[in-house]
Parts: sequence; structure tokens; C-alpha cells
Amino acid sequence: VVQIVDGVGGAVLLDLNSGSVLLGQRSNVKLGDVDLGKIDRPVQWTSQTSTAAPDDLVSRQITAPIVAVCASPDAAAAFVASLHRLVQSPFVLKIQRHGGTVPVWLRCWPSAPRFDTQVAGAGVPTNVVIGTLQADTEPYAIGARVDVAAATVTQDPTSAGAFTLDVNGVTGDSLTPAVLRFSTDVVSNVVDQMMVAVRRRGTPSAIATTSLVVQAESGSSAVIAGGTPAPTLSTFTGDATFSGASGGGGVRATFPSGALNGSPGFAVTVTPSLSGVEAPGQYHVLARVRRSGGAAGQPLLLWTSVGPAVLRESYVSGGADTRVVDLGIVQVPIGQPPFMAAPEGPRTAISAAIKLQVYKQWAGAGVVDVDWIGLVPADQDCGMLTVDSPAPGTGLTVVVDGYDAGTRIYSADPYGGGSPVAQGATAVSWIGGPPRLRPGNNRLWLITGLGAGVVRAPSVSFPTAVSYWPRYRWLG
Amino acid sequence: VTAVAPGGAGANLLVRVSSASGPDVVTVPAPNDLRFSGVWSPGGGWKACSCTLQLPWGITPAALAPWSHVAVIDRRSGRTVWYGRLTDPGLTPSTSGTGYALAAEGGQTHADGWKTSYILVDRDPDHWGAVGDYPGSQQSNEQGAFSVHPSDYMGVASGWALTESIAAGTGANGGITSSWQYIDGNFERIIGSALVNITEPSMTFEVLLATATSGGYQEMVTQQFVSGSQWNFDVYRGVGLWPSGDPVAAGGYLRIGHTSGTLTFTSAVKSYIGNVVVIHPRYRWDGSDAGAWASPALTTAGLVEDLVGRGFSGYVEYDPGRLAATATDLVPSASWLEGVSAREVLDYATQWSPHLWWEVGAPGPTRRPVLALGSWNDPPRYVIAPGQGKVELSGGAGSIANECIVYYQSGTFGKSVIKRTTRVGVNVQFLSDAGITRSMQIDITGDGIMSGDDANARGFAALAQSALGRTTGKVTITGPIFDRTVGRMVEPWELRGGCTAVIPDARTSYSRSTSLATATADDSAAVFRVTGTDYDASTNSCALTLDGGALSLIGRVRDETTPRRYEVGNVRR
Repeated sequence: VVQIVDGVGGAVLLDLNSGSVLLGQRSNVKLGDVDLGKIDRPVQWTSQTSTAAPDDLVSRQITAPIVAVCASPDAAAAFVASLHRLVQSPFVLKIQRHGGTVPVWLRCWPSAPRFDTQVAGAGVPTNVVIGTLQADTEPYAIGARVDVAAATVTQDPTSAGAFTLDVNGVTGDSLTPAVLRFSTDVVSNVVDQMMVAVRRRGTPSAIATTSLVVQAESGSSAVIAGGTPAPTLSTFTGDATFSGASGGGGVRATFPSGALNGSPGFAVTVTPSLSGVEAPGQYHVLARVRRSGGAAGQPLLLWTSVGPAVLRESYVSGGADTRVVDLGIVQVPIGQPPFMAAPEGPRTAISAAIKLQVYKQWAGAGVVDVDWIGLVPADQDCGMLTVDSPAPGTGLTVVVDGYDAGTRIYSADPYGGGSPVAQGATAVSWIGGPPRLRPGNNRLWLITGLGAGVVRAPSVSFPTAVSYWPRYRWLG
Repeated sequence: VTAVAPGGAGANLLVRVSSASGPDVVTVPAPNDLRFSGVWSPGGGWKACSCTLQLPWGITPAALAPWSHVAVIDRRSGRTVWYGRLTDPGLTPSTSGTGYALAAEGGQTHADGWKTSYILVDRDPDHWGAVGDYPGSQQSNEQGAFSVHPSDYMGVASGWALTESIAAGTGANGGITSSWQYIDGNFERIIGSALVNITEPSMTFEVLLATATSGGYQEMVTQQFVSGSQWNFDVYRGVGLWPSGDPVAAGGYLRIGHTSGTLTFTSAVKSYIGNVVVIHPRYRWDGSDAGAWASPALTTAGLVEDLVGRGFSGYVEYDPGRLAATATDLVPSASWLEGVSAREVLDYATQWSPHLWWEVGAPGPTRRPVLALGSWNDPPRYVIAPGQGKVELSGGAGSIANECIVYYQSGTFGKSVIKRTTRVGVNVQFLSDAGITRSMQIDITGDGIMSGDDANARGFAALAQSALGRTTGKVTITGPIFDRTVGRMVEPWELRGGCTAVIPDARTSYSRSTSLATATADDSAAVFRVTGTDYDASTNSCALTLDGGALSLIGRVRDETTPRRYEVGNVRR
């Protein structure tokens, strides 16, 4: 099949291999080789997974010889005219190998087909035109859209499937951007931030949320000596705003009032059970923290010690007092290059203990609670969806477009059939790398409650749908 | 584990431009001509960024406009690796596409644009005007007669005095006075010392201040003099007639004079007022009153927090945790009646705390870029093993000196300015080993009247600068290296300045001492300050500027980044 079509998955505009139009010398349909985009520097081997992103490809060419046997010489002229008309602006070519079942689409740049000028001559009738269509194309051929049915993403880290969404069985041969869709007011109508990350190397499903996230109450906690007034520590249960322990609980630090002298604070130390060949990599450290009483709205200094590294972050004043705070990025294994530099070496690792130190920054009483501390992969694609003010209306769909890292709001799922209406999306934004999917299996993490506008209970959940177009360096 | 050849810039970095107000966003994979830089000496953080975007013909996004936010984002982690404002969209449309040659300035550009005029601690004699109520000669001149005022947090006696010579003669009540008026109002506390050379019971010293409740100038404190004995005054709310509920005084006079009867002197009288420190209102970082009248000592931390609380927080995000714990150096004076930019204030803070740098970095949770003060004295962040980077070091010996001649202003006499020189020396191992004395000179006469001690301190500081920042160098990193601060491998685009790096390839004698005290002896570690970064996406390399890359001798090159002044044409009326 070689057809000029109206967009990827669109209607046929002109068929170049059907009926009276034939691909002359079919074996001469040539799709140029792809080349890696090069950057000017010496090749340096690294087993560092973070650089394991593929090179960009550069554009290539397609060449298709065409023989059209038309009903009349005038019809031949009309055929050539319509071909010229279709290819003088960017056009889409649908190609499917003879006997194959998977079509691909090539987006092509404007071209000028060449035809023999057969005015009159012996042997070849003037209703037959012979020529060649040659065009520059995008480096990747695009496969038909795959819609992954919406699945519910949960937010209670004590359950095994929390935060994650698997996109398995992706076809194609190259990384392809995903388009995420949230058809729920839980996302579109609530001021919040959501972190979205992907793990797509090795066996992504081997990294369970339960191996990344640890409840604060199951770690160890201690008052940090030195500063006054020092807090008293306890654990609590039966709080549905928190996850874990008998109806939800965590570690509580109660600061008495008094002038600030030194840096009074406390530490919670947890050790994620993350280990194995999938463990090496870089991770965001997140902690779910609540400040109440006199601590409400007050700044906290959050230091995260992982091995020798100390990450310094502030829980800034103002905003929601129960929040997931991004504490920075750590590496597993901590404190050393993740792999041996030698060509072969052990490839497994375990997570180090994570010690969260919380320092008081204000004079006065207050309570600080810690729910959980956890890791989220941060070395393939990771970004943050921000809703700054509720979308105007209910029942809307928030779309994160992996192609332009942009966000849009529609009246309904744009890939759910029908013709949804695009809404103004003035207060929704995306910062970071939208997830790209590799052929095979991928796991996404979606964590809400990082924003300043809302308290997300662990019971919150929301449907997430994913669509993608497989990418091919060759054909489908 | 997937191991693939390193990718181009676009595979890992995104350039995101979002309009300054509004929803428009353009995010593209980083073009290969992306470059961005940062500078941390004395401060600033991210400095400049440029790249060229190619968009389809006819596409002119609203986001590509001046003052849009520009962020370079590491797509792996979602972290911002460069942030600033678009200063030049560089539009070049053509039928084959629309090119945008973007040029952006780092968030520190807000530190140039934000300006205000204020005083925190004022020790400037120029801010006291001679009232000229008696035909004597009034001047501020060098005067070593004062001992330290007990309430002066710096613990130094002033090197100048407001002086008046009153000729012998006779005056009626109030007719013989020496008055000095303060240039500005709204201060919270004033300390100083006064002295006259006669014994005359009717000669008194007065501090006259106007407060909200007094409704006019009132004698807050009065003291009768004894010849040759220094009287220290220290006036704030609740002292003397200053009502305790009145936080600020709106204006001030210092007056020496006789207040009763007719006075006759047979010889000239000389009066001196010195040790004068005026404490103005001060803010905490959150905009609340810092209570400067009760705790007048100004530290570099206080200077920066006041700047934030004074209004710079409208541009940057700040919490006290963003300030190095060592920002405790005392700042003797801070007075900018003529106006000052946030950059100048921050640079000024690093002059008194030379172990600190400042930066305006990536936007925090409030979406404003984060202002932070960091320390050079932290343990080395990068250890650049042989082969990990291309090391280029050169020279620097030509600018080392172990002696400094300081030219400064010591006082005024009438309308003339008294200038003096002082000479200080330090031990610089290189030069003493070679048996050489090399002198440099600085001219700080433009910095106002100062004591000999202050001038010496500036000379020492200049010598330390020249000795510490002696090597010009850079090291270019092309692959992941280990960041000891965060405990992980980092890519070239993640490298930051404002830290130190160990470069074993360098001879130890090339580097500065790890301690930033005035000692400049070799301590056998080739440790350099990383004062700047310059990332180039086309080669995925980052050049780290090592200290000395911008030699900053006081009086020659003050800052790598020049404070920006706006030029305006003369307005004709």
C-alpha cells in the first residue's frame, strides 16, 4: 500500500498502487537509511543509565517510482495534476508492505514529482505516465494510534499498585512520546501538582511502589540534639488523611513554644527495600509532611541525608500544610558511580537509608507530622503537571501531550470518539520531560498532592488513559 | 541495563518558554546551538542562555516575547538546569520556517531591575549637615580623641568627628551653638559621643529629635559638659523624652550650646561629635519588623533578609533555610540614600562575607526564582580526576602582590577633603620564597571618609583577593562526573558554580588555599573555586571557570557583572 492520505490514520486522498496506478519497478520503492543525529565530540562510553537516551534521528528520503495507466490522455494529465497538488505542501504517505498487516505513515515535506514528458511516441501510449515521487520525510514512520484503556491510579503507598500505571506491549522500534489523558475532575478541578515519571529499561514492573516508599512510623525517629526548644516525638494512628498504621498514621513531632536557639529538629530514618538489577538509577526523594497548630504556614528546613550526601530543601511558608515535598535527587547506589567502569561488573544495588531531618524555622509551638518517605525514578522522563486554578467546568479532560510537552483541556477525551471541544487552558501547565514509551513494557508513576492548593487523602484515585503512536525506524 | 551511545542535547534537555503573564508555552527539544552560563563570583547564579528555535512558517507563539520565562529542563528528572527571562526573541521569519534566536538573562536580572533607596546603619559624616548657626568653622575631620562607644556593635572608635571652632567672645542665651542636622528621618536609634575643651556648666549637649507624638523637635537627652571628658549618648524609644510607643524619629539635630544666661569665653572653644551611628528600621525576610533599635548589630544575613523583606521578595522566593549559616559577619554600615539595586546590596554583603556567594536560581514552589546565599567554604564538590576534563590553567603570577598602598579619604576640613595613604603587607609564600616585594595600589577615595583601620582592612582584603585568585583557568567536562555534595553522577549540564573543585592535574601551587582566611600559604591541595559555568550543547560540554578567571582587584575590576545603570536623555522642560 502506498497512499497519500489526509493525516495519520486519515482518509485516502490518492492511491499510488491500486487500480490503474501502479508502482512501476516496485522493488525500487526506497526508503532512505536513517542516520543518527551527531554531535561534535569524541565518543565516550558510559554505562551511566541516565545518558542511555538514544540519539535523535535526522531526516531521510523516500523514493517511489510511479506508473499510471489512465483511461485517457486527459485523465493522465488530471492524475499528475492531482499528485502535484497533493505534494506541494507537507503530505502524509501511508505505506504497508505487500502481505504485511501493519501500516505506517510517513510525514513528508513538499516535493515535485518527476514524470516523463510523453507527448507522442512509438510504443508508449499517451494515457500512460511514468515517473518518480521523491520526498524528504521525518526520520520515523508512525504506526496507527494505540489507545490504552483508562486505568485507575491509586495513591495509598501501602498498596502494591499505588502510584503506578503499566503500559505494556508497546510496538515499534523506537521511543515514542505518550499522550496522557485524565478525564476526571479529581485532576482538572483541583489546584494541585502531580509528578509523572517513567521507568522503561530492564523490567520496569520489578520496581514496586512498596519497595520505594516506606511509612515514617515503620522507620526510626529521633530528636536532633542541640537546638531548643526540642520537640517531643510520638506516633499516631487512626488518621484517614495519612496512610499506613491502623487507619492511617505517622510520626509526630510536637514543638513547644520558645525562642529559637540553634536549630531544633527531628529526624526520621527509613530504608526502602529497593534492591536488585533494576535498582541502580537516580530517584527523586519525596516525603509527605503535614504541619499544624503553630507550625501551619511556617517554613521548615528539610535536609535529606542519604549516605554522604545532604540535600537541602525548604518547605516554604504558605500554601497547603499537608503536602508531598520533593527533596531532591539521589542515586542508588548512593555515593559512588552506579556501575563499575570496567567493561563487566556487578550490576545490582540496594537503596541506602534515607534520613529526613526537619528543622524548625520559627519561634513558637507547632506540630509536624511525617506520613511517608519514598523514591520515584528520575532518570528517564519525569515532569510535573500543575493545575493552578480549577478548570472552568466539570467533566473535562486534561491532556498532557508528549509531543510538545504541552497541556490542553477538552470537553471530553479527544481520542474517545466524538468531537470534543478544546477549552481555554490558562491555568494548567507541564514542566519537565513528558513520558516517552519504549517498545515493550513501561511503568509510569503518577503522584498527586505536591501542590499548594489541596490535601490529597491516600484514598484518592483517578483514571488515567494513555495513547501513543508506535515509531519505526523502518516499517511496521 | 540499556547502554546506548550518549544522546544529543535534545534527547535529554528541553527548552521551555512560557509567557510572563498568560498561558502560552513553547517547549522544544534543546537545539544543538543551546548554550547557557552562570557566574558565582561574587554572585548572581545563572547568567545567560541562547539558542535558536526553528518553528514552521507562520507559527509565532505569544510566549516568544520579551520577559517570558525561559527554562532549560532536564527531561529525565524534570529539574530546571537553567532559568531566566527572555530578553531578545530574535525573530527571523522566512518562508522555509520561522527562526527565533533566543537570548535570555538569568533570574539575576531581577537583581538589576529592583532598586530602592534606604539606610540600615549610617556612619557617614557626609550625612550630617552643618547648620551654621554661629560664625564658626564646621567640618568633619580626623579626630582620634574618642574612645569606643560602649553601644557600638563594631567596637571601633570613629575616625572622624563633626568639629566646630567657636571663636572667643560673648553670646546671649542660645546664641553660641554648634548644630548638626541629619540628612534623613525615620531612624530608630542614634548613638554617638561628644566632647568640648572647656569647663563651662552652662554648655550642654542635646539630642533633638522629632517623633510622631512630640509633634516637633524635642530635647530627647541633655548633658552638661566637663572639659575633655567624652559623653556617650544612646537614644531610642523609651530613653529620655522619646516616647516608648513611638518607633521611629522623623529627624534629628545634635547641638552643643549654652542654654542659660550670657556666656563669655576668653579663648576659642572646640566641640567634637563622633562615634555617630544611626540605626534605621530593618525588616525580617518575611517583611515583619526586625527590631533594629533593640538589636542594632547588622550582619550579612540581616542585610540580605532586610533586602528580601523590603520588597525583593516580590521577585524571588526566599526562606531562611536558603542562607548559609555562616552569614554572621558584622557589617559596619549600609546606607544608600541615592538608590541601590538588589545586586549591589548582595555584592556588598559578599564583600563583608567574602566566603559567601549569592544566586538567583530555579523557580521554587512559589514559582519565583529562589534567592540563596551559599558558602565557598564547604568541602570540595567536584573531584575532577585526570582524564575527566580538559584542564587549562595559566599565569596569574603577574597579579600577585604582598604589599598594598591604600589611598583613602580621612576627613574634611571646611570644603577641602583630606586624603591619606596607608601601606599594608602580607606574607605571600611565592613572593617571600623569591625574596620579592611586589606592591599594588588601590584608590578608595571614592568610598567616603574612613578610619585608618578601615583603610588597612581594605588593603588586606585586596591583597587576599590578588593572592587567592591568582590562577586563570578552566576545566572542560564532557561526561558525567561525580558530585560529592549530592552523592551522584551528574551530567555536564547539571554542573554548578559556587563550590570548590579538586583538580589533581594541577600543581598545588596553582590553586588557592582551602581556607579563605588571610593566610595565603600553600596547603598542598589543588583546590579551586568554581566561579562560573558555560554549557555548550553542541559538544555537550561544560567549561568550569576556576578562580582567577576573573581577577577581581578592588579598585580595578569590582564585579564580573557590572551593575546596570539605565541611561536616560536629558529631559527639557
